[in-house]
Amino acid sequence: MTQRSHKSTIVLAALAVGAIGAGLVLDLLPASNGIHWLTLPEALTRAKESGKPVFLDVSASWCRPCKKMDQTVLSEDSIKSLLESAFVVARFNIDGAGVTEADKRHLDVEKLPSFVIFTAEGLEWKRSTGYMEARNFSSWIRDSEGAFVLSWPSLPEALAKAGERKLPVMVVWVPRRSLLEPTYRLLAGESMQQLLASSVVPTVVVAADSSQEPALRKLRGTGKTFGSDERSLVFLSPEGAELRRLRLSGMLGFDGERLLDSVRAVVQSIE
Amino acid sequence: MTKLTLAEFRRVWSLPTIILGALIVLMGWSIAILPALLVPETPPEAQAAPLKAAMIVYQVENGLLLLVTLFFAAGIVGYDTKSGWLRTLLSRPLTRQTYLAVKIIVVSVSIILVLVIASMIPLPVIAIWGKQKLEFQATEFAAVSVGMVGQCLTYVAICTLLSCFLPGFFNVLFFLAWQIASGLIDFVLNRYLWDSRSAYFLKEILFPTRFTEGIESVMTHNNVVPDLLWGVGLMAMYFALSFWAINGIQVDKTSE
Repeated sequence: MTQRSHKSTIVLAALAVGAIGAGLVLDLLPASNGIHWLTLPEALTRAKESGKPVFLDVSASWCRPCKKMDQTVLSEDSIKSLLESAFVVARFNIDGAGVTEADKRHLDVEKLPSFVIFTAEGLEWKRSTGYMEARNFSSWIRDSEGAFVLSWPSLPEALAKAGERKLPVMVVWVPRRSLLEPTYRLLAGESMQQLLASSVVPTVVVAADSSQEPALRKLRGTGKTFGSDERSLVFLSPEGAELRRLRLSGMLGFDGERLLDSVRAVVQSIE
Repeated sequence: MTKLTLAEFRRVWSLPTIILGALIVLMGWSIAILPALLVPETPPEAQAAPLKAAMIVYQVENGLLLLVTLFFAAGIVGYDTKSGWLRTLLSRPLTRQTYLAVKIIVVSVSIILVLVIASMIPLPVIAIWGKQKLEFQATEFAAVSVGMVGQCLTYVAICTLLSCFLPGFFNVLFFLAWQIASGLIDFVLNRYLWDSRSAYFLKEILFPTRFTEGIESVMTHNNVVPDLLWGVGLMAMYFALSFWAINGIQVDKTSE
């Protein structure tokens, strides 16, 4: 004897559809944290005017760790006031209207949420990914390692400044954004900073950053190949001609002291 | 239905089950009590953070949930089908849905009983003999209790669905493979499909963990309502599939 009925199935299925639908709607609702977010282009423009760095939050409407950051970290008064006083704050929603794959590639984001800090000139300083508790987030924001890059100009401005000061330009060439922080750490020593301040006009170029393509094309017009697959310090004349190149491979990629000696030797040879 | 439920309880709680259940409970007590007793004593001026009762319960129950679920729920329909017990039951005035409801109730209550005994009995022991103060917060405790019951019922629903299609031992294998796949899928999503909304939601549906995430939401003072809705919805979905699948089981040719 078989007794079959679909009543239970129908009732449970209706409950499932209703509950999941309501949950989906709530998941997709934007979380509010009271911060007035600009778009990245707006923020970069405002940063140039004010001289403040840009804090960029890369997130998505369906990303729960992003919502968690909004609700528990970014809505905290101390964090909000720190962000709004020290930075120009921007948000990039990866499923916003008009966002393309090229936009995502440009930001080189691989996880949500991602937080990127740019200098007022639009150079990337540092980034972090994933949910962070308020205390860790605050420490990360306040950590000033590599903060010297905040005063570095962009490549075109560096070339202009180099012409005025009659100094070479030192381009910190990085193939990927993830290599920026370790490179800054290599250059962070006090002696290195003093040497760079007196002898070169430093700037950073990330190969993956398409916004720097126009400046790079001009340099390639000088006849020298510019890019490489590994981190390099490329020394240019104010006209953009390549003078010397230091590949940050082997020990030079790790040993700040050895790098300092090499940079000093290059600067002296250029002089 | 009451008579059937009691009969099913007697069937499930045989002597081997009681012994193995006791061993699992002892395992849970070790997880809860040993760290609290073995942690070095902190001087009063150090003001060490108190142990949270809710966290202890969560750690024990989360650690044992998979094992206990497999122990009680793997093959709950498959074994009855193979042994002919289902055929015997259905020869009486009993619907398949009633049979399945009884099985689910008995298994769920058994799992929850084992988890509660394993996680809550150590609390007074830790409060009296533990080297750190034990803190009890009603909201967090309620969140952990509701969340773990919800997650347990979701796993029971999945095991029930699997057992309508797979014979006994393969249930265990498939459920374990499903758990492993959940971790691998997380890796693949984070690495390659981090920006895919549909992949993200598909993962939510195939590997439901919103009840345990709801516990985390309460602990971090986040909105728990979406987690609860998703958790209830997915649990209902798997139960709906189970109640649909039970209708398709052929009892006449499967008994020996």
